[in-house]
Amino acid sequence: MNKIIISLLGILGVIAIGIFFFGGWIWGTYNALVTQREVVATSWSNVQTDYQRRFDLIPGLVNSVKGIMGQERAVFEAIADARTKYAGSSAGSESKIQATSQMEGALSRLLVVMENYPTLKSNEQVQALMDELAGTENRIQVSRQRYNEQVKIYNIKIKVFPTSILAGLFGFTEKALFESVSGSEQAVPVDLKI
Amino acid sequence: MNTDTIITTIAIIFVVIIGAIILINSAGVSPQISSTSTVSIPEASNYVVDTTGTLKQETVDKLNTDLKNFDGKAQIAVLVVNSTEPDSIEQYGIRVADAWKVGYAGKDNGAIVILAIEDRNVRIEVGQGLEGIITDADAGRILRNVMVPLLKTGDWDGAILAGVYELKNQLNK
Repeated sequence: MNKIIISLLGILGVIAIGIFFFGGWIWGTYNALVTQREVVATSWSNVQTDYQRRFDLIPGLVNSVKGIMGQERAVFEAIADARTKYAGSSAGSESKIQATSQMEGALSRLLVVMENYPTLKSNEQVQALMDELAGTENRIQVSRQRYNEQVKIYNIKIKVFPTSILAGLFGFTEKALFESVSGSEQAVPVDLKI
Repeated sequence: MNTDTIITTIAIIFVVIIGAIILINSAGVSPQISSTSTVSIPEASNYVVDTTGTLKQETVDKLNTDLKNFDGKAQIAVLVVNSTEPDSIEQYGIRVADAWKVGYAGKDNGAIVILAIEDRNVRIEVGQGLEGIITDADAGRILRNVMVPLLKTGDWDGAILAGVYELKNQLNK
């Protein structure tokens, strides 16, 4: 009788320890995944902030060059169009992303066309705006890169066994990386070569 | 000891080992992001770091003293390297800023003047805490109007001194 109780207690103890470790593992892993997901979300909002900054700079640039580049209507129309689409689409939606790349395209066309107007280069206001724009492009690159780094860590975490089981169970899904769009690295031409 | 306790003991040890393995594995998975950058970042040994020996010793000494005295509201550092390739000077600047941590913790109120001699390139890397005081336009103006004209004549010392002077002015405004 005594023997049976002891071995039952023993088995219960083993089960308890097993549950303790398993529960601890689930708890720790879940928290780690949530934390990393939050880090990714923060990096994403940094990218958004930098996008917004670029977006806000564009009207100033357009206004200060419009006087001299009045006849380049197509470029200005493309920018205005992309701006309307960008402002009208909800955050994170497919159309927002499309409007963003449309904006990038229109902006780089404007910058190319501006090269044909040497008087603009010596205009202080235009120079200042171009500096701001170049700085913003640089910030976008950096925040995109940091976002990608965090997403990579997150994606590996949720794919590695045995974390992958929990990730699947709790609905942690893979996040997309920024692919470097061809032409997006095209720098804003600010002539600072020595 | 009877057989039951032996079995129980073995079972407990078994569970503990399995548990430990799971814990170690889940903790050990910390993916490394490999860096492909090749130009190393020199040690931040002083306010002015010239790895090329381009600047005169008296310039370096003067700047180190000046920048030490200035240190407080913000920190300014100067780095002279031969080349930042394959990184662009912007990418390199960010890496230097990350490595040196110029400015005070939590404030990010540092600025680094970076001069790449062989690339013939110059940049002012501004910490986030100073972005409102030294805007990209301000940095561009200092570079374009003050530093680049001097650098074009080969006056490295004069360019750095003038650039730092302008930065201090801007920060004192």
